[in-house]
Amino acid sequence: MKLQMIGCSHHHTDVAFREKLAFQPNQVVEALAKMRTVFPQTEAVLLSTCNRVEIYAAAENEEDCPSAQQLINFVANYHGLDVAEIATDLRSLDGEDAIHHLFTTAASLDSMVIGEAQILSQVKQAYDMANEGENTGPLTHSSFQAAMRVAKRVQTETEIHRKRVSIPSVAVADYASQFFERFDDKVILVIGAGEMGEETLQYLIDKNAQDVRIINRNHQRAIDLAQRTTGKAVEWDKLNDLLVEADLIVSATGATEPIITAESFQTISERRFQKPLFILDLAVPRDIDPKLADFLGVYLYSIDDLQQVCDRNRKAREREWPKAEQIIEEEVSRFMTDLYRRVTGPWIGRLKQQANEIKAAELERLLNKLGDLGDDPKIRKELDVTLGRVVNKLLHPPLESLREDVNPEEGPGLLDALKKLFQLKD
Amino acid sequence: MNGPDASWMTKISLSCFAFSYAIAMILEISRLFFRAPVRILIILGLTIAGIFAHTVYLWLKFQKDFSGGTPMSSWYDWCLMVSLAVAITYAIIAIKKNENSVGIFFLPLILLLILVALFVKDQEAFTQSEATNVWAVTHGISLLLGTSAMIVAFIAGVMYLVHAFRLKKKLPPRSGFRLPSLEWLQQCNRQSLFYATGLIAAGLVSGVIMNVLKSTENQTGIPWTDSVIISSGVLLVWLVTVTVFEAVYKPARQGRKIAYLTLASFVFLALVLSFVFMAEHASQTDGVSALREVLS
Repeated sequence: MKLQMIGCSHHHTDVAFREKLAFQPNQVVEALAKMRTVFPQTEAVLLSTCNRVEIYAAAENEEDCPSAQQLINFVANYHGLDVAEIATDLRSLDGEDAIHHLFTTAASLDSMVIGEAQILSQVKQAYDMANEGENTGPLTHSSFQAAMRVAKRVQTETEIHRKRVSIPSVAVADYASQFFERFDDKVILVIGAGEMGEETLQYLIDKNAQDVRIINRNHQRAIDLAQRTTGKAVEWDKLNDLLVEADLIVSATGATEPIITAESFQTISERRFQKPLFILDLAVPRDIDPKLADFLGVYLYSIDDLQQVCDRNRKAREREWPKAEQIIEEEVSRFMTDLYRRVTGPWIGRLKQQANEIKAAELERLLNKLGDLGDDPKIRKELDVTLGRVVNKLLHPPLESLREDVNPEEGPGLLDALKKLFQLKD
Repeated sequence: MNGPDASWMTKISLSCFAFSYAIAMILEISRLFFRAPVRILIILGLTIAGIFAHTVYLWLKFQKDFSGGTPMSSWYDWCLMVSLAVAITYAIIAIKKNENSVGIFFLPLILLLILVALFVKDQEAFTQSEATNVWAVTHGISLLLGTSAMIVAFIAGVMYLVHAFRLKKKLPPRSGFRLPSLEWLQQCNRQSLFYATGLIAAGLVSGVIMNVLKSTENQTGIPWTDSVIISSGVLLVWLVTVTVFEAVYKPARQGRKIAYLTLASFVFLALVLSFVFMAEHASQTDGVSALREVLS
């Protein structure tokens, strides 16, 4: 029984390298199908996200499982890359180390943003795709199902997932929610059509924001963003009117000078009748003049203000790290013990069968020698029981040592010794 | 409730529910210092137990007073009823918004009202008057509910100002001190102030009618120059002005202004009530004692 993993992540490789090895969803299906052809007895799961590319391969018989080098060759071959070009940057793990890594990854302890929830769904998706492609088997089933269980345990028993650490999520969940009870009746103005604005908008849409106006100097980009989301693109010259109507402004343009100054906001403020306005200025350099914060009813937050909360939350997550790691250690140990029992089980059965065969043969020989005495059912039974007890008593200590051996590192050694001592064959 | 099974209820005293509210308040304060997932359940449990004991206590007192004379006819009873109304409001809000630290603002005022009740316990009960019972009941109940609504408006206003201050100063969110959203607080503040104004106005107008009736019938009304009547009149004018101002002047509806107006209104009401306590107003006017006539 063998489990092998090769892969790379954001820890040791740059994005350019990961891009070369990345598998799009359709490529995952294709690669898994190809693996089935190249390594027919191998179970496989392929996890490809923007931060990592990992292949998990497993087989009941060690010789059926591809080695790390074979997997590297496979990846290089699939992407048409030179093996030497990628081999040094790819990490390979097997056995318990591979399981530990899988559990750590699923629990989001290996993520760029520790505790982010997305990785668990990505692991699940990778497992589902392998299932659909019939690439999974007993080992991948048990290891991936255990990984998802472990991730949920870490989620519920620690606070590592509770604190938000990305600027858009903190902006919406930790700040906007302190201002507004509901978002469906609010006028939300998104200035700029960049990534930060879009991500923040997604969080607001998740909160049921419905009246979203998107404004951008390049109107086409505003239209594109509006089409991707549920917003409405508005021409740039309507900015002042939108500032009067808005309850919440998310500004994230690439402008080098503030687009809303205190002077320009003066007349807007008069038209707003002091209606509270929550502004998230997520641009660097800032889009909004900091003096706007002095206006009555205006609450202005810049990226620095939010970053402080993100950093604090990140530290809070780090404090939870040992607790999460403890859970991983416990679960890896439990999984490996179960796995080891699964490995030793058939051999124990085989040894018992071999001993019983010897016992039966010897009993038969003895009964033949005993002549008429051996025909007495009572004596036959007594001899059978006695020999059985001798066999059991002889086998009990080694088998018990094998069963109770909870250190899988030592497991194969004991099992190998048992195989050699009793000359057990596959 | 008078049967043998309910005999334990007769042992409920003011200290039972005051103690429940006090422990709930301590637990609410402890939110600031450490996290404990089951705490909110304990707080709610204690508050609901307190409300139950509070209700039973007032009900038994009502029955006792009813058989012996005038029920719920003292400032002691009045303060306890207002505190019960505020406690029920708190429990409803705490269930709906169990992640928020609203108890820190509500529970001290509930305990303060109970304390005030203890201070005025020895004051004379209101006297009976058959001629003014309907207006007296209207006067008493409207003022009771109006005061309760004003206390809720005041608490919402204070929470609004604290929350707005924290947000304006960009203080980072504290997990142990989460307040409802500004929008919710503003709505709660406005609505409570609106109801309080209506109820207090109804209470004061019914008080005027009651006094006019008494003055014309048997000349036992309070003089119109009485400090309580004058201060009540000023309070009514203030509340009506605030309501009109809020309706006509748009910025007055927004955030801090309404909170400040509520705070001022509450202080005004507290002043009038203290005048009333000092003047033992209701015992002169037969006040809520008329409840008995209505209920009998």
